[in-house]
Amino acid sequence: MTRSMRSGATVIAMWLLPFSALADVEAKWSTSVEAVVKDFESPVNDDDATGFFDLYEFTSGKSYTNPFQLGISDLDLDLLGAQETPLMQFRFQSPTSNLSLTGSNETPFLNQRADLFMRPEGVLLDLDYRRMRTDELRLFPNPSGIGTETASRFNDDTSAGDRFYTQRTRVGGAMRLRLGELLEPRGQPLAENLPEISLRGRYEKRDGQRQFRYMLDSNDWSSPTSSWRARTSKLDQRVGNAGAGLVLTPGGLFTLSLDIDGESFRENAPAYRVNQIADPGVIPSTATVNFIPDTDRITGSAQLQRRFGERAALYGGFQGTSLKQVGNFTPNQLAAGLRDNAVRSYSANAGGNLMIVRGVSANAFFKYDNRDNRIQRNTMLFNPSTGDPNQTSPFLEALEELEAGGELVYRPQSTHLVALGYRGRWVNRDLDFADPTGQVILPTNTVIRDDSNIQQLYLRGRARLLRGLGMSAEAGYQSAPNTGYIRELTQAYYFSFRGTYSAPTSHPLDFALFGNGEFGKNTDFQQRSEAPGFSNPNRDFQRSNYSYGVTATYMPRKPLTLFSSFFQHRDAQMFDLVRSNAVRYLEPTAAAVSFFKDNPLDYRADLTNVLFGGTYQISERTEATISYSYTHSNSHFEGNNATSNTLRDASKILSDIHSVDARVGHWLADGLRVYVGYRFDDYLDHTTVPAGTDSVATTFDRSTRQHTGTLGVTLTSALLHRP
Amino acid sequence: MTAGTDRGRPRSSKRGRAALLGLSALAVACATVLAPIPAQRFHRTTAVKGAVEHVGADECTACHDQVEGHAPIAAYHGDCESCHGPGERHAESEDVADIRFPSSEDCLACHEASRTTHLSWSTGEHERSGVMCSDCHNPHSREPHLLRQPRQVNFPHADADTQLCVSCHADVASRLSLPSHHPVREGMLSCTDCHAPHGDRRTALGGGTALCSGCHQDHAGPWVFEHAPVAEDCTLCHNPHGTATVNLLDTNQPALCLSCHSTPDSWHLRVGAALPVGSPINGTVASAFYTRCTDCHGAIHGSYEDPHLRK
Repeated sequence: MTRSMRSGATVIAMWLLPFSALADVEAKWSTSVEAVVKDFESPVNDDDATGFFDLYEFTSGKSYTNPFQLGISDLDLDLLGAQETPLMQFRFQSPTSNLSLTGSNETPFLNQRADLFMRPEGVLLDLDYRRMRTDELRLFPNPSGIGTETASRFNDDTSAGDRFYTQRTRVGGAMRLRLGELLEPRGQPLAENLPEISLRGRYEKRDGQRQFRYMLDSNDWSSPTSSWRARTSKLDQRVGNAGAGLVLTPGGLFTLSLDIDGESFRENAPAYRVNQIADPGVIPSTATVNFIPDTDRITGSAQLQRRFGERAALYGGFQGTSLKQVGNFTPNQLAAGLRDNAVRSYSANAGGNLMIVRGVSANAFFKYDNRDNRIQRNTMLFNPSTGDPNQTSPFLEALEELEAGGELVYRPQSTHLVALGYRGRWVNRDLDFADPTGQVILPTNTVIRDDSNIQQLYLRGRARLLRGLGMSAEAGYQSAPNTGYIRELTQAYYFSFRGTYSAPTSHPLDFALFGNGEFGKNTDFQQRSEAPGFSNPNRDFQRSNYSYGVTATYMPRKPLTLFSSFFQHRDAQMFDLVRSNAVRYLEPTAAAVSFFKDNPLDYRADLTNVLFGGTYQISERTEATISYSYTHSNSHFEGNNATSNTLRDASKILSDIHSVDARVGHWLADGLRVYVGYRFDDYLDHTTVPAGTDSVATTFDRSTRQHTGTLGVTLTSALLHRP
Repeated sequence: MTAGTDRGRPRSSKRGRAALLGLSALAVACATVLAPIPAQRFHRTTAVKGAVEHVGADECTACHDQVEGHAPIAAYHGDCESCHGPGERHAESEDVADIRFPSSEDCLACHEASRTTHLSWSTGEHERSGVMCSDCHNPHSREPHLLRQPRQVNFPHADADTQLCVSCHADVASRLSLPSHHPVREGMLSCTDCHAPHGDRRTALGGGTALCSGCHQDHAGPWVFEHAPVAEDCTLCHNPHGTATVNLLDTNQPALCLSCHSTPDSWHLRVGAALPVGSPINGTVASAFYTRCTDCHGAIHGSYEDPHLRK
């Protein structure tokens, strides 16, 4: 038993102790013990390689012929008082990783979660524990860049045995004190004005490795193989949060919630500096590579709410946040005297609804955000007149955003409504453009603009029309006189709907249809050149983005239930690829930049997800479940022109995922159940990228197939209470 | 070539789309106003006329000794009639139409003032869509937070919150099955880690990056040189529920980047030996510079050194 396991058991025992003294406490529990055996097929049955199915499900000892795991997959424990009132509830799940019997036991418990809810008189205590690991697929085939041909500038310094992953372990909790119950009866006057005090906290540890990709400046490398690199970097982060809150109800007039929260984020892994990279010819530099700052964040908020029976409700709030860099500063920051690097944000909101007459109401809201990042800019980091490096891109110094809207609602019955609504969003960006005497991007050729002004008018409704038939829908039109990004649409239609039907027959049928979509364009963006006589191509952007699906559940006869779902998504984006003879920031002093259109690009993403299966109650004690799911992803450039044809293979995603899951369970006795399961997963990567000179997208087969067998036993408290 | 011209793929008519949308909206509006209400289909949430006398919990439990497998009422929920109203008529007729089922208003009468999470319920997404407390919570349940427990066969490892959410939000459930997704279906995250089911998402305090940076602090900066969308709204580039691309990118690279950015030939045609400006993008160039922009611009969220976000 490891130290962490002993600690956990001790803590749980301490929690349970007070309850054991209570006479009328009933304990209900259930737990499952599972043995899992896996089989991986080539080419990803290697502990040093992340396969597709490792992204969210780490398997220790994957290189063994059949990795084998044994452990507790779930544990529920309820302590119930009078009238089965829960006093304490504990939920634990370890769904995908347990105590490994093959492979390394260094990290046996991954992908776990536990929650503890305690309800002594006047106190609500929720504690939680999470542990999770997510892997990333290697972006390059291997550390030497095999597949890239000679004369590549790419130089991957990562090791072939490096996996890139993040492992998070988190404990946290919140305690709410209900003064009305705690101070009863003497404290009632206080409790009526201060019903709740809350405390909360969280601590998270993140470890792992990342693959940093970066590019050195021309003066940092001496040979072509030195400029473009990838490197393994440790991830060693700690995050602590603490907060407190009050709920005030002075005289019952309104509810006021006051909260303050603090967060400390620390990245303990060292940041590389360019001159630390062992490569002949590299010029020592004070520049860091992928520096991640330590930060402290403090957030305070106040929210107020008042209801006036069923006639009206009002609420409003304010929040202020300071996010400040602390701890280590980069050498260039220190040299520039940039020690006050902070972002301050303010946010305010209000909303309310009002019943005008019975059946007719109105609601409205607004939200205002202000983000201020006015760091000291007259330094060598920014000022082009004092040296290199300097600012070239516009810098978002401050951002103001206001979103507001309202609805007029007609609700003839509680189940029917129709509403006409409006919402608008205004964004004002304070963009700092550097001194145009240097090499900087200018307001004329930037791809981000000062203002967004987006208006939407919509109609929505909900109705339950016939017996068992219900539907809801929203459709609207968007118009944007100003857009800050080309991907914001100047004109668009959108819709969403959901319909459900429950057939009132002896063979229950539940059917749901859903969908949503947006169709629009932005034709208001020009790529402008400063130089007279040069073309100013329009950067037209069109997008059709929609999805729809259906789910159905049917019980043709009593012991058999069938279910299915289908989901289809399409995202089609058309825009012109704009090129230029030189980089934008050379204009106007160093060069006249000429923009020109390449061929139009037609990006298409099609996603399909299908699921069907059934459950069959074979006998009173035995049931079986089987399901099949299929996910298809196809993302590529459509169209028939030279550029699209060239880019198509280099950036295509084409994959199929098939999964079959079967499980049979049998109750041997009250409180004792055994089950066996089999799961088949198959990931088929159909992308065939042609290897080319300097290619980073060389053929890299990620296809993976795995088989998982499960044998489990479930025990419940009913086992001890058999008649 | 302008956006309005045909680029070789079929396009649906704008008028047709507008007409379809308009007709759909009209149909919903008409149905809302005109359709008859089959009252027996739905549980009554209004007071029963003529029922004024309380019969007491003992009278109720004489018939309802169990509700959904549990003792009918937990201690903290008082007695039956505090939520269901006077049971006089129902006790006589035993007709379900003669008993009231609690509406959200009934629940809020006790649960609103002491819970900050309920402050904006009245204008929130769920309330405006007609969702009631009892659609998600079962006051007779013994489960934590009294959540209903629908089991989703495609989400066997997901936690109780998620199983409940995806029972309605099937579109999100499908997205969570795509190759890149937050680990929700694996049970490592829950829908409620990001979403406040009682709240009004339109007015959630904090800017467009506040929610994401609560877990992804290493992308939040503050940066010396930052990518403007990172400061504004993470969903400009990412789709949090699921995508086919890596890192939850809404659109695959290079399409996502090229839709905003132009590319200079002076840099992006320089492979081995520089190609003349205006040369066609051939296979060599495409694979090196038009596949994944972040292979070079690796510090895409922000940098302390490089305004071009390359390190």
